[in-house]
Order: sequence, then structure tokens, then C-alpha cells
Amino acid sequence: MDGREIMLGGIRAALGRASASGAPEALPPVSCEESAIPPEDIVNRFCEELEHVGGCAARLESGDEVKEYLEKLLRQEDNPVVAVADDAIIRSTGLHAWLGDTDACLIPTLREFASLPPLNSKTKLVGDGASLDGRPLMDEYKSALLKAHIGITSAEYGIAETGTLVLHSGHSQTRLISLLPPIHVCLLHPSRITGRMCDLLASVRAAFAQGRTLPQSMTFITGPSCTADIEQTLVKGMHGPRELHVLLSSSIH
Amino acid sequence: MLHAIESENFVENQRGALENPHLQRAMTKATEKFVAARVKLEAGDSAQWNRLRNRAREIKELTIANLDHYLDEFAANVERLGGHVFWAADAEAANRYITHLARQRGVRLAVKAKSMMGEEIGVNHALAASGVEPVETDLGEYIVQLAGERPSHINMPAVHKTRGDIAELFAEKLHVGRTDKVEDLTSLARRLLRERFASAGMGITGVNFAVAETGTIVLIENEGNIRLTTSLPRVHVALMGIEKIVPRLEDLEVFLKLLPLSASGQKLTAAVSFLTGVKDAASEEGPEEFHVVIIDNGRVEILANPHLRESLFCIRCGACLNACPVYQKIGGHAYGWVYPGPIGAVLTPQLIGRKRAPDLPFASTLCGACKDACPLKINIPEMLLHLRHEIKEGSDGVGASRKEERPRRTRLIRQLVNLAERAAFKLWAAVMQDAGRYRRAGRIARIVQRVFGQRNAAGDSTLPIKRWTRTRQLPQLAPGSFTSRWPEISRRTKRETND
Repeated sequence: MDGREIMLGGIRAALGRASASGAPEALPPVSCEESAIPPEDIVNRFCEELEHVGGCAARLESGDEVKEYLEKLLRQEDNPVVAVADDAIIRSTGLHAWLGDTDACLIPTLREFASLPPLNSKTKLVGDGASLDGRPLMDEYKSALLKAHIGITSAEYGIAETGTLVLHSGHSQTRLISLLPPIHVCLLHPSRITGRMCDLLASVRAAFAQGRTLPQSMTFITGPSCTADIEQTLVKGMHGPRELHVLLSSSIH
Repeated sequence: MLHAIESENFVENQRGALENPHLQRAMTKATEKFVAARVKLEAGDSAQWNRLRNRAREIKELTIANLDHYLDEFAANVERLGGHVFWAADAEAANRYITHLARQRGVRLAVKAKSMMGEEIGVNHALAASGVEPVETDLGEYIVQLAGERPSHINMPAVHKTRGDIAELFAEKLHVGRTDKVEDLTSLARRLLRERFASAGMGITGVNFAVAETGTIVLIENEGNIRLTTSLPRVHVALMGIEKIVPRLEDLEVFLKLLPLSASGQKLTAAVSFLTGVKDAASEEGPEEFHVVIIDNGRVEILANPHLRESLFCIRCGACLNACPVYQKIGGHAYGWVYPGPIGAVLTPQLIGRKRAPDLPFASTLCGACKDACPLKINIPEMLLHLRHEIKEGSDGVGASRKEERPRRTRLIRQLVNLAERAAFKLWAAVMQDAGRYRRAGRIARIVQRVFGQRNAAGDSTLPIKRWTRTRQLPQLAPGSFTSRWPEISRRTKRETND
């Protein structure tokens, strides 16, 4: 008998069952107990909740306002190093090209890393020239990312009830870019914000039903990272970002 | 490092805890914050709180009653999506699997997120013994690891240390100038740990919840170290107790709200990670290998006991610790093992054996604050009583074997005391059940009090009863019973209202 049989057999015996039962008794139907948030209040509520946990919510009309906001952040650092996620939403904003024209140092995307010969004219390499001498690409990329001040990603969804961003892993490296740099800027289209967590979970499940699976990593981000392990005193910015800026704009597609 | 299990020395340890001014200072400060957090919680949306609790209980009851089915479903999904499942009967089996895996993958450094299961199986010690350096990344765990101690709370591992303690510890162990500012201590830890994350070959976490229908594990945190632990190293190992299962993705909502709310008064923690399988070919980020170690280690035995099965509902929020007047005074280390406080008093005797923790279920006033605080409404006082009964009546030989170890004179005195105790309770019952006897007893007691004065009976005696009377005072009886004084009181009241 292998470990699985032993353990499952032990559990059945403990529950007083002779053998594997058929389908277990039906679970209560999934119901959303929280009252729905009126659609016109969703964005407001999202911003309120986010600010409550120490995040910054900015409602910006145009792409220019987005760039203006970013400029202010860049100016906080003398030689700002920026990592930008490589997804369709970000690409549609033209941020890569725009940042290339500022004095920010842009960390290449993983794809760019892979297709180097180095010193591609559109990107500036960071640190020690990022030589790829035998070190696996991912490691190289990670070391570069550790030097970034600002990470810019988009989010799949938002949850108004808790001021939460929902990020899926995939091709865009949102996972590390939203985690390693001390400042995380996240672009989100206001229409992608759902009211309640139960709605979000239901839609995630629906989107990944029919044999598809969830993304390998889905992350709920609610405010900047923090800790209260020393005398229960809250400090912002532990291992994850210290600042979270969510830029809500319909100019993002 | 391997910490010895100290639960059998509870009586001594709790006395030491009470007499430790350092610990008392830290616990007093901590308790102020526990109480404030509780007040805030109760001032919040109590309708929602109750709704969540009822719903959570419903789900847990159904899940635990069909645990084999859901565990199997979960494991099948994990494997279908490229993960590995190892079914570990006990700590040794789990550690063997993990250290073997580490060796095979050439792992020299493993970063760890906070995991009570990891503490329970002693994985750090097993790793170190096989040449792998385990590094705790949760700030609280990092602090206690530096200090060579166990965590003293389920969520706030270093709650027994003041800021000064931590400042001194860092200065001494990290060879830096001393700073007492919380921000500076935090950034120092952040900086040092970042370097470890980058070079670790394995990340080890626990599991907060495991979703059967999707094969997803869910981890909640505020610091970001779990996200780092599960995205930087190439191998991710998740340690999971059998009771962590929830059936469906949507069932998570209730738990994702309850756990942060009871643990730290938050609506939601700063990050929640939902991890499913291994990355697909197109995705570049994330570990290359995912291993779930499903661990029994005594839980199946708990499952088999219908009186104690409910202790498997625990979601490790720590609210019962915060509410417990005993924990607030003695802190976590006195309990001697991994799980302190009320839930610790219930789990420890079951997981390590009643013989090795016979005093823990007695370390309670049965005030019920834990049950009120518990998001799953676990009836801890009931279970403590049940365990007390088991231990005293020696249903598994505990009572008997303990008795045999004592010298004859002690045993005789104990037998006399037990007899006296039983007789006293019989007498008490007889008095309380008859109004006439009650009145007469009251009259006699008042005479005795007048004659002997208000004094702590047997205060200085060497009888075993001293242990009970040393911390209790006899109540002072009023000059007359209420019923005897009522005619006078009622006359006086009528006079006053007529004036």
C-alpha cells in the first residue's frame, strides 16, 4: 500500500466508513452574502479601500496624465531604474518608448534579454552590462530586477470591496516586477473592477472552466507590503513594495 | 536547531514565565494591543462576522466529514497540473522526502516562509542536519531564528520580545550598530534577507488553504516574503496538514475574510497567492517544480475522536491566544511546543501524546473567551474538559502511569486529597440543592467569618490545598443574606420613593 492508500484508508476508518464513498453530500450552493455595490459606486469604493490600506489611487483621464504621474515618481530618484511588464495593455500605452526617452534606466524585458546582442539601442542596460556569460537567463534577469526602483505592471481585475488588484502570471513578468522594486505602479482600466470578492472568484472560475486551469499564479494585492512583527507596530514596506500606486484610466485598453 | 519539547514541564515553565519581568513587560504591551484589536473587531459589522462564522463552520463540517474525497481530488489535480504530491504519515517521512529532494536538486540554501507545520515537523533541523541552510524570511520568524528560540505565537512569532530586545539581538548577532527604531530594524532585515532569496535553491512554505476542485494552494501574508519564496527559487515545497482542504474556489471567500479579520483586524492581507500547478511552457516566471507534502502526523487520530474532531477546524488565526487570560500572562513558550494558547492546549496533547502534555488542558479557567473569539466557533472549553477527563481518569493510561511514578507518601496524600475533594463536592452539591440547607450554611459561614476574621484559609499550610488557595481569596460574606435583608430594603425603598 502506498502513502496515499494508507492515509486515505486511515481517514475513512476514522470517519467510520468501510470504503470510499460515492460523491459526498452536496455542499451548500455558493451564494454571495455581501450586498452588491451599485455600479456607479464601484470605482469610488475601490479608491477608498485602497487608500485605507495605504495605497495611492489616481483617477487619470488621458495617457498624458498617466505619463505626468510617472514623471513625478521618476523625479524622486536621481537615476531611476524602471522595470516595465511586457503585456498588451502596457504596450498599448506606449510606455516603453516614452520611458526610453526619459532619463530613466529601463530594465529590458525578459524577451529582450533573450534576444540580445547587448546594447540594443532602444534599451539601456543596467548595472554590470548584464553579460550573459553562462548564467541562466532568468537569474540574470532577476539580478537586474533587484536594482529597480519602480516596477510598472497592469492588473487583470480589481475588487472594489477590498481595494484589491488581481494579477495573473503569464507572459508579462508581472510577478517579479510587481514584487521586487520598492515602488509598484499598476495600471487598471476602471471597467475591470468588480464589486465583490465572490463575483471575482466566480468569474475567475468561469473563465478557467472547461478543462482549462487557473493561471499558475494569481495574486491579490491589497496595498503595499507591511509588517507588525516588532511590538505590533505597523511598518510599510517589508519584503514587497513599500508604495503602491494604482492608476485608473480609461485610456488604458 | 532542535528544540526540546517542554510541555511536560509546563507547571514549572509557567511559573518561570510569571516571574520573568522581561517577558511580563512584553506580554503586557502585547495584551494592550490584543484587547484594542478585539474591541475594534466587535465594534465592526457583527452581522457580517456572524454570517462568515456560520458559513465557514458549515463548509468545514462538510469538508472534514468527507476529507478522504476532497484530499484525493486535490492531489489528483495537483498531479494533473505538473505538481508532485507526497503523502507523509508523520514528521520523519515528510523530512526524509524534503531532504532527499534538496539533495537531488543540489540545494544548499532553502528560504522559508512562516509555517506552523514546518515547526511541527522540525523541518529546519532536518534540513540543517542534511547540509542545507534554512533561512526564515518572515520578520518575526527571522528574529526568533536569530535568537535560537521557538515562535511564541501563531502569527506574531516574536510577540514575547520588546523592541529593545530585538534591537539588542540584531546588534549582537548581525554585528551592526544598535538602533531601536522599528523602521531601521525592519530595513536591516529586509536588506539581509533579500540576498538570501536570490540565491536559494528551494522555497518552503506552509499552506493556508488548499482548493480540492482546482488543485490550488492559497497563501496569505502581509510582508511579501511568501511571494518571494514561491517565485524566486526553482523548487517550491508546500507543507500541508490534511485539514487545510476546502472544496471549491468560491468557498475560499469566507476564509479569506475570516482569517485576516481575526488574526490582525484586516479586511484582507496585503497579498494572497493562489498557486496552481507548475508554470506552463509559455510562462517564464515561477518555480520549475512544485511539491505538496500532505501530512498526517496525528491528525487522523484526532479525526477519529468525535469529541475532539472539531479541533481540526482551526485555521490558525491566533485569536484564541489573544483572548486568553492565561496566554496573556504566560506567553507562548511556557506551553513547551509549537502551538500555544487555547488551541495549543487542545492540539498538543493530541499530537505529541497526552502523557507528554498532561497539564496543558488544565491551564485554563474555562472562561470561554477563546470560543467567543474563534472564527470557526470551535468549542475549546468543551474539548479541554474532555481532555481533562481523559487525562485524570487515565483513559489512555496517562493518569495511571503518572501515579505510579510518584513516591508512596505523595500517592497516599494525593488519595486523601482526592477523597477530600470528592467529599467536599458532594457536600457542596447537597447544600446548593436545598434552600433550607443553603440558608443554614450561610448562617454558619457568617458566624465563622465573624469569629476568625477575613483570612486566606490554609494560607501557610503545607497541604497540597495550598496550591489552590495561594492564588484565591475567600469571598467576604455580607452581614446578612439578601432574602433576610429584603424586608428592610423594601421598606426603605418605599419610604424614599414616597418622599
